[in-house]
Amino acid sequence: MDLIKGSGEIKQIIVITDGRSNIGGSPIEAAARANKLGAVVSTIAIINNDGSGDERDIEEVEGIARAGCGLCEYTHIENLGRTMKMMTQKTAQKTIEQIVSRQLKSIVGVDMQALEPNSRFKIVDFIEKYGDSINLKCIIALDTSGSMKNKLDTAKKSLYDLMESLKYRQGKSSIAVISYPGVGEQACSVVCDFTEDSAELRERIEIMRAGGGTPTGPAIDMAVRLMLEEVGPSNQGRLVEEIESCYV
Amino acid sequence: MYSNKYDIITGKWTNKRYMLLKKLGAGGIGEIYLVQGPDMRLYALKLSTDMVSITKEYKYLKKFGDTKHFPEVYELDDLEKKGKLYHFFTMEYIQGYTLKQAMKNNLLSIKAKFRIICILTKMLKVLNDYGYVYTDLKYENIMIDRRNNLLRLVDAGSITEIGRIVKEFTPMYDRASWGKGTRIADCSYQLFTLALLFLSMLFGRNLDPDKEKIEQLIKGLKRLPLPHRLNEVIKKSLDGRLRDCSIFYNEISSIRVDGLKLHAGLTAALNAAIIMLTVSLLLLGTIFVYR
Ligand SMILES: Nc1ncnc2c1ncn2[C@@H]1O[C@H](COP(=O)(O)OP(=O)(O)OP(=O)(O)O)[C@@H](O)[C@H]1O
Repeated sequence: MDLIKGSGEIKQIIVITDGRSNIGGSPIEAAARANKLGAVVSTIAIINNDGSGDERDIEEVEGIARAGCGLCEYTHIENLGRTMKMMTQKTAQKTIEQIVSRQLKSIVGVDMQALEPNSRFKIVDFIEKYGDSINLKCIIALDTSGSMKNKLDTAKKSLYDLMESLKYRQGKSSIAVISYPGVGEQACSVVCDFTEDSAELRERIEIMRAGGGTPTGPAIDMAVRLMLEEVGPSNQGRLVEEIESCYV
Repeated sequence: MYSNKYDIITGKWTNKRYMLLKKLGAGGIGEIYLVQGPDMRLYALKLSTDMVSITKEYKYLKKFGDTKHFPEVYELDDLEKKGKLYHFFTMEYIQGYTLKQAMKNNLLSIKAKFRIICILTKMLKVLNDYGYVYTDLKYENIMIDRRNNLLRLVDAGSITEIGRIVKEFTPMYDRASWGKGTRIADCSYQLFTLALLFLSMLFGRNLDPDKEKIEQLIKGLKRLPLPHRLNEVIKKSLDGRLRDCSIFYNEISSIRVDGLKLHAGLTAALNAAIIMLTVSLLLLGTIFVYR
């Protein structure tokens, strides 16, 4: 447990898709595995303008987010950039809220929710400030199946925009991109390893092309492996200290 | 979250009961209802599952309550419903309409538009002086308070300390979306939102950073029959060369439109009263026309 979360960074996986997986294992089970290891998995479903897509698509994207303890949002391709920005921000805040809440419980023995509303100000301030200054690692798994053909250019631009907007945060933010299906014959591939440089990101994601099926499950498993490679030294201790100093 | 009229919202901590009368609006973080409080008075109540946002907004409304630029705020409380915890606060119910409604048929006179911008600039200047920026300036968040003859800002959720990252914004007013700077809260960010709102009001339509360019907007402005001085101020604000709302205010308020100097020592309240009168007359006018 908490192998991924324990490094004092926020690690999230965002799965972007416009359809249902049809290659490899169940993405919902993959998301559950990822969450067991401490990663939050969220989904963004792109709504098709031609109205295609059905109940089972919705069940799958919501199922992934539920199993990954993340969020699920629907958006038209034009608003993908905005949705991604909101989601990274919200997920980071939610994760910190959970950590703070847990720590608080172990320090003073109460849930944050059990505190009288007017005594929550300091904690809320803390969550906000910490949300800005904590390091963020985000893996975007992007559906590049055939149906994404007309949307891929917008998706690439949105990825670049996301990196651009994250660079104003006080904490470090890096993004990695996995495309599924991958380059060549691979089910999925890391087209861009963790980077903080938007120019580098833009260059690397250029090679993505749309075509083929939708191996969502394998893409999530690959994201988890990429996260595990990255686990650094723990500084959870610092976090506890800061919470204590803000509460008492 | 609520749909039935006369549903009761009971505060978990204060035990105060609020009767739901109607939904006033919904936004990014929650929903706003018109309710009747235990004292039989009307309140606006903001309800959400997001504790951080509700607590933060309450804090800012309290902090800036004295300025009258925001609704006065009262209780902060929780609501337990079907095993789920919600958070809410109650605030002054503002009787009136949003600037969005006032702009609907694009019937506001140029003079009224100038006055609205002048008043808003003054209001935002106060906030900037405290060290904060109101990042999500937009039509829906500006209300014309009919009872008190005032312009009011609703939704304090976007108030951001100067120097921090901007989280709540609408692309149309956001300089980063137009490729004109960072998404860091500072006074020039504020002036950009004001300038964009002003342009949109003058053009009488929404502007789209994905389809248009700032340079085009400036060209469009030049084509309008307005004093040239205006172009300069707007251009400076869009370029980030203006860093203080009071300079913007001085420039805009000293421009003569239709031969009348706007400044004229009018108080903000009087100014708002004139706008209200104009708006009311126009609204009346449209009713007659459409009948
Ligand atoms: N105090 C109030 N009195 C009367 N009407 C109000 C009040 N506060 C809000 N409203 C109405 O509710 C609408 C939505 O409010 P508000 O912007 O605060 O919601 P929100 O959830 O924060 O939305 P967003 O963050 O997306 O702007 C407003 O446009 C306004 O019409």
